[in-house]
Amino acid sequence: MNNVRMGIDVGGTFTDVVATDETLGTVWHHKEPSTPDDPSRAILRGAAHVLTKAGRRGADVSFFGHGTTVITNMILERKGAHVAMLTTRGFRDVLDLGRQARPHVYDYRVRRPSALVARRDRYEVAERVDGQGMELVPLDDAELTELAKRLAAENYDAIVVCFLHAYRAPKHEDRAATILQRAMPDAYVTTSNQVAPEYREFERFATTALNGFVGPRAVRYFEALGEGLREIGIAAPVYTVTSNAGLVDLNTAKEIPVRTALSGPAAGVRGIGRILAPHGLGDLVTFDVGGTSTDIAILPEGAPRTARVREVNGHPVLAPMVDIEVIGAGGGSIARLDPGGAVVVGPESAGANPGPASYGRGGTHATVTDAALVLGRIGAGAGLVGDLHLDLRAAEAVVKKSVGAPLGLSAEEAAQGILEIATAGMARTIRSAALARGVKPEQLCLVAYGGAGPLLGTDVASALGIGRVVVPLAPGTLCARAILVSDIARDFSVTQIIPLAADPDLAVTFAGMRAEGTRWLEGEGVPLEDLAFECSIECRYLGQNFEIAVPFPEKASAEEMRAKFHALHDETQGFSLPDREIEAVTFRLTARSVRPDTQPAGDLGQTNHPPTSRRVFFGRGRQETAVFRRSALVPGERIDGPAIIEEDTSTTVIPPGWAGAVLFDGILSLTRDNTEAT
Amino acid sequence: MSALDGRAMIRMGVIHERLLAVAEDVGELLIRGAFSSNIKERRDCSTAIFDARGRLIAQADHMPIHIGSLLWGLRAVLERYDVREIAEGDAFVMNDPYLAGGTHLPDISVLTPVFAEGRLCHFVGNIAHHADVGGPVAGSVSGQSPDIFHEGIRLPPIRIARGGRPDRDLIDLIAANTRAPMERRLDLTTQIGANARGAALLQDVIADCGLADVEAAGEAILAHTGARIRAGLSRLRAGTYRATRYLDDDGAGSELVPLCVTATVEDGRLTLDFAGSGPEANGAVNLSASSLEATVAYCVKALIDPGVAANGGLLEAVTIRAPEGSVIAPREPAAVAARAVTSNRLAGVIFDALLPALPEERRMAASNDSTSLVVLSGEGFVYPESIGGGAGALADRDGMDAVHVHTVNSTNLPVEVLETSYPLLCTRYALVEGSGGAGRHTGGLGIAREIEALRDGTGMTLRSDGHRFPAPGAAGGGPSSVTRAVLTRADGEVEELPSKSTRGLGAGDRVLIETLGGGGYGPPAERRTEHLRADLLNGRISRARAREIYGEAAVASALA
Repeated sequence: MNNVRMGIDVGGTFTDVVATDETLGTVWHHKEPSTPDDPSRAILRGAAHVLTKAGRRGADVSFFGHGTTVITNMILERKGAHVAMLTTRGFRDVLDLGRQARPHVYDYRVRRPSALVARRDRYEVAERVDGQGMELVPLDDAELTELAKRLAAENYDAIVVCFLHAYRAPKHEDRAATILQRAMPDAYVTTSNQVAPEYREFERFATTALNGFVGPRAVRYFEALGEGLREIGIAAPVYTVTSNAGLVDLNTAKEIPVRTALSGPAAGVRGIGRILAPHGLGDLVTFDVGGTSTDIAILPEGAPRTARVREVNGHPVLAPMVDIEVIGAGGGSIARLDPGGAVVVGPESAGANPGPASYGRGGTHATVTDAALVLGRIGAGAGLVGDLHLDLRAAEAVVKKSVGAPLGLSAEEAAQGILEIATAGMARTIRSAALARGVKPEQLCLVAYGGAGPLLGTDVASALGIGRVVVPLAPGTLCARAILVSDIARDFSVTQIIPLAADPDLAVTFAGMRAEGTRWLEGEGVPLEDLAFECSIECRYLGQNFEIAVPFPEKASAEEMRAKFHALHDETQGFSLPDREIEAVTFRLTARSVRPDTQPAGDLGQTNHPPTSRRVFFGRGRQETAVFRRSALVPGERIDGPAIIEEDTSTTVIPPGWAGAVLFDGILSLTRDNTEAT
Repeated sequence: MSALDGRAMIRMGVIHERLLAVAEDVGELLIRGAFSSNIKERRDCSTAIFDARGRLIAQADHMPIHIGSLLWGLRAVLERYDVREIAEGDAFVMNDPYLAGGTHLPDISVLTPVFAEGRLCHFVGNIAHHADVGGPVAGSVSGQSPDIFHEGIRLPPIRIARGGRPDRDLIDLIAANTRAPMERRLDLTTQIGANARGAALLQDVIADCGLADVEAAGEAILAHTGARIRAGLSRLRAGTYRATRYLDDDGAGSELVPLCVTATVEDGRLTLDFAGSGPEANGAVNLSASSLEATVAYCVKALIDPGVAANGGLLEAVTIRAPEGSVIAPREPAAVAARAVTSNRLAGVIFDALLPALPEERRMAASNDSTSLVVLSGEGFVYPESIGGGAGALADRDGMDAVHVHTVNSTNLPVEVLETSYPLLCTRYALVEGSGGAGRHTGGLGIAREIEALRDGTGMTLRSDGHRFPAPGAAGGGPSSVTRAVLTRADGEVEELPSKSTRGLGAGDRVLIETLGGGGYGPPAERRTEHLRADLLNGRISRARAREIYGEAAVASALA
């Protein structure tokens, strides 16, 4: 029967596969070691493995979605295409000039990464449009035709066309692209108005350059993946998650691959909102702790915010993205003393190899994982993939040596200190992120996932004054599962600076994007009744240099938008200027398919593991602590702290003063008892 | 160390994170709430927390030159007012270099006392660069003002809020003395509001951790930074080192102005004696006392331990001696508006002097340590652009292109924003080919930016330096280019502009600035062939010039 949905999240270490039977709600999980040289190998192997486990065939797959780090890795490793850039005369060096910022204020050894298109590969052509979209210098077809011959002779794989003000006057770029593509039929040609049609030339040009840099290899990867899936019998359309957590088909992924950078965590964050929606938990903060880093996102009322630009390895990517902050500390982060004797955790990490000292693979540094093992918070042998046995003695020795002895502390005290410092840093980022988005940190509900999120969740919550932590099912493979509840969606935008005082018809500006969005969704096979559009306009006061997104309901008048902008400005910036003129700057539309939610259920009460117990260190001493197997828990069950809950990919800690409850869908809800200080 | 020390260190680490979060949150609130693009887009502001004795405990990193001026401002508050007169809900405003430890008048500070457990325990402060504070020239940063009275409104440390309520009368008085009163009102109100929020957040920290622990952590934080700096200093090669560099002029038509330092490294201590530096300037390049201290604090952190927390502990092991009445220790009422030029060059002098004492990986050739500020103004707008240049090369890597260095760190305004906001057209924005010094590693390239006025009656103020002296190379590396500024009138008439000048522009007139690059490091003969090849193919240096410096044979083999 054609009813298996499959979600895959390709990470640096593991490729997580989740499949669910839509009819019965059964879920299968699998972690396959990633194959960074050709990520599709792990995907195909993992998919085949899960199908076998489920006793199903490729033909049974009705949906296939994946989040990939292929694009991100190409950027990190700088392994991409030989790219040429065409740009406006006088502006060849925009990529090098950037925003004139140095990466580190004090450490002059830290350099900006060099541009992905070298100076010698950047060509100026005569053309110019001014800020109002008026042509000052026409494009010279003859000059372009000559240049195209030269570029063809240089064997470029990709060409990016980046002209000033092309976000509002794209004709020159489009004509140049047509002429070049004609002369170089095999080259990957993209324009800045196609990749990121927004103003601020550096960010737009850099994003377009990045798209050209990853384009040719991305095309090959997506094509090989499609072919490989067909070979194992999966004929369902293949979707890829974007950095804004929408699903796009292979054609779109090949056209704008840069939008699939940072996609896995984005799907996880948006998926969390959906998975927790039935519980009405209010404002959420996601806390996704991996081996080397932690991703956090603030979700007012469960909906993620959108960021306009993020950096990948120092290169800006201008695209709507789920707003996630990354902290350089995770389960594998190394704890050490700085030259002044203070304990520091991260950003150096032991990685997967050799890993923490307790992995017994030759790691010689104390990590967060080692500290948790010393305290008994994770058990030797629990919470890890495969049959890796954790070496408690190695962990104790290394924690004692690198932190305990120099500070005159026991291994336990030092381990406790390492966790306190690690969680204080994480709490600082969450607190600032919440305040910057106008949300009170102590009123958040913290959602802990990723391998080490549930281990540290209650500690970070306590440091923030947060009273509630929830742990979704299978927190170690949540991002893959979230892909199963993602929408097919694509973002469109256009920059048009229009004063709102003149009461312009704003819907007219959206009409083009709406038509484009409809065409695109139809092309993705979405039935007409499922189409939905979300519109917003980024506005600012005249003379301001930053914009605030104001939701635009269909047919809203300029007057309504003015009133909403004043109110939003007051709410987020602390003041409004009722007499000041307002400008609309960037118009945004997300075209999305709305599907009824299909929530994969969990594996509840599947096993019959009686709880065991061990002595775990909390605060100042060890306490006898019950240890449960998550798969043995049933909805309605209540567990008082101190307790530990173990599952295949993660360990949840319930400290003294906290209590856990298993909700109807298997989600663990931990609450702090206000009467007891922790 | 005893067991108690270990636990105290961990407690310090936890509380330090909380205090830094408060400083950063005040910065975020300020940047979000501010109206002017200086604060909003260029983040030209800083925030900090002080203890009751006026010591800097935690600071959010934005602008290095701001370290110190909040500190000096707080000293001025504590001198002027008895602590018993300071009440919860007060806030103090100030900007004057002589009356309130300011850097220059556009940098306005607001300091807010924090009370807990029934007493004054801390201050929260922020400082922000306002786009204009009056005076004869838009932007209030002319290099040519003869004294402080020409530079805008002077504020001693005075109350701007009482009982938590901002003083509207005083805010209006300040605003009325500037060119964009609405912006000033909003930005000042935001500065007061951000601090008030910061005070509440700090009270939350104290409620969670206890005042005694927070105060103990404050002591430990200062001691910790002090210890790291002393440890770093004791790793330097002991000795006495000297360096001299020059400013083009004093902004009032003088000859060059020497900046000298004698640096002594000894027993984990550093003494910087600036004897020999030029006399107090008639123009505005004088460096106020707090800016001198900020410049030294920047150098100590950058050279010795860039990762150390910025606080009062930075200067514990440092002695500063500046000759009274010199360009770096001016007397009231000497003008100081262009002090950024002097601060940045002085940082360069300190870097140059200490180079032989540093481990090789921290040695850097001189950079574009001037700042070329161009202010264009017209009806309804004042647009300042601070243009960076090339950074110096290091022993193992080329210098960065197109950045600000040392105590300046502001971003550019994108061309597309410029052209949609003002009646101006940018006709060129590019790297300056050949501007970096040659060497085993080359200096970074400077920036060329040319702007055309689209309307008559456009004002232009240039406050620049480095037009006469290049950034020298190190260890045999070559010097950079020099900065030039050229005004081309619509009718084709061309004028080479002096580094500090003011002109009126008509429609079609264009002003071009080409800033200097960084100095090279190591002998050019040691430049690797593949690096020289990349330089040539990328047009970073012309073939003719490369033949002169690297030799005919080297260029031929690089291009083979």
